[in-house]
Amino acid sequence: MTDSHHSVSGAEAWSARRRIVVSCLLALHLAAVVSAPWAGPPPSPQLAREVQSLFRPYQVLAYLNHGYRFFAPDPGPSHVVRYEIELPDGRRLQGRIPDPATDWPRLAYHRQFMLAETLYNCYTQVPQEAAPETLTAQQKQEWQQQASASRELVQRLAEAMGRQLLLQHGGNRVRLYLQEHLIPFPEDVEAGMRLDDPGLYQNVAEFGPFERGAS
Amino acid sequence: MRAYFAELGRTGWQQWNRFWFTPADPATLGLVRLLAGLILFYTHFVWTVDLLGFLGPAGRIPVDVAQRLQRSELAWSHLYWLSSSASGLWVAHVLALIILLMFVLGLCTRVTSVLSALIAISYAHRATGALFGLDQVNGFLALYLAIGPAGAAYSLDAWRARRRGAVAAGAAAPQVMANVALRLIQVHLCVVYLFAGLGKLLGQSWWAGTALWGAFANFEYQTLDMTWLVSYPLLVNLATQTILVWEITYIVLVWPRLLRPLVLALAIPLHLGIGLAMGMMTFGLAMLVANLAFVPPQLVRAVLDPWLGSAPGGAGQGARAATRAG
Repeated sequence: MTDSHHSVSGAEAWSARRRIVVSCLLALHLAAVVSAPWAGPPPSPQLAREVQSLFRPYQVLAYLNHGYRFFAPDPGPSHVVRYEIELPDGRRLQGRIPDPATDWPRLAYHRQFMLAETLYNCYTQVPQEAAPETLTAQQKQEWQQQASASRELVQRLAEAMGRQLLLQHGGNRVRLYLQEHLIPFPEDVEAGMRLDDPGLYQNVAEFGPFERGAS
Repeated sequence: MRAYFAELGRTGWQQWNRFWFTPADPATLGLVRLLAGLILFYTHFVWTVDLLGFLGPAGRIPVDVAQRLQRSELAWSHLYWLSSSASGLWVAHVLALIILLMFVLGLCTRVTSVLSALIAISYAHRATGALFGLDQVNGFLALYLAIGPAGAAYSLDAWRARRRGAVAAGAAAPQVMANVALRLIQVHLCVVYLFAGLGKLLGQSWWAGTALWGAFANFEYQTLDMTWLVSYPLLVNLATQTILVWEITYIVLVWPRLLRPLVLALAIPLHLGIGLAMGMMTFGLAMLVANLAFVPPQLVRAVLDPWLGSAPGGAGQGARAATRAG
């Protein structure tokens, strides 16, 4: 490895003992840095998951537990939350999360966008069918507990997002509609289709109604 | 055979020592601190727009939801304790912004660099669910800036030390920890690009050369209309696979001195393109700042010292002082 970063003239020098100690710490740290994306997201070898489990406490503490799979394996559809709020005067207010017209600056928009994506990811963790018959009784019980926890989490997040909308807009009741926004084919765009064509939005799930003051 | 392994071990240890423990001029680290600090400050300042809406008592991300998303009790955050109190949250937030601003300026850098890293990690844990790549890059940059002498150049610490007359003018003293911090940023960045590239190999659209269309035709990301690319499929192919090859080979090609400028130059259109066209300018800039860790301090000085040499913390006059102060 070659570079021109360094100069040693007039510089401090470390003792061998100090270098050995720091080398061990560096090796451990780098093992933690590498094992996080090696182990996940799936698919990943069991070896990677076993190694990562050793470092997971440190990774979590130092916020190093990331897969770095930006736009991988493929750039996929995005997810938005449409909402409908009933106002005290009976009017209905409709909107979307994220909303490029109101969420500003762009980083704030992106926070809202990621929240909609998180709601979708949580929703996909909720099993939509009954436990497989092939499971043992104990496995079925564990499966149901996990399914129940996933359902509760997605409901809790949707409710928090809904109640925040009620606070923001002074509404009485809100319903949320989680949608998937498909990416149009190039030939459709060439033929004139807009990226926000209504036909590209597909309903995934509905949450609510959530009411003001109720919990 | 035995001689071979003995030689391998000896040479490996020498190279390891040279790589990690050669003292380095802290100019590059100082520049990375200045720019990464600005991005950190901005990232956290933007929470101010809707702090309570996200993290407050009735916010979109309740504490229990954040903790369950984390799936670990070790995902600590000082904001967990404050989320039930709007005023407490505001006080903590303003304090965090002040600390981050001090870090940008290089004021009490030894302390504010550590606090800035804690702030970045703490906010990331608390705001789980609303995060993306930017927070990951912010996290590791802040972590490595906290362990190195990030205030040794281009900082108020250096300027104050010079004003006190504690040091003479001249080049900053090379420091081992400046090298360690830069090396950690470099290696971490290589890991990021490697797995970003390898992950893409699982996707058909990256092999087919059409992935960039999927990114640019995503309405929720779009800030610049790139749908004109539909008329240039070969350009989409070329750009898609250039990104793929660049990410996967970065870990190898960024090290040889001759190739480094080319590899780093390619990072500019990639990250600025993502920033401009896909609305993630902060993320794009954070990645570019991380890439700056590969820029030699001589070049940093050649560019910045004529501008900042006589300004507060200019490396040419005060960096040696900051070596002690920061």
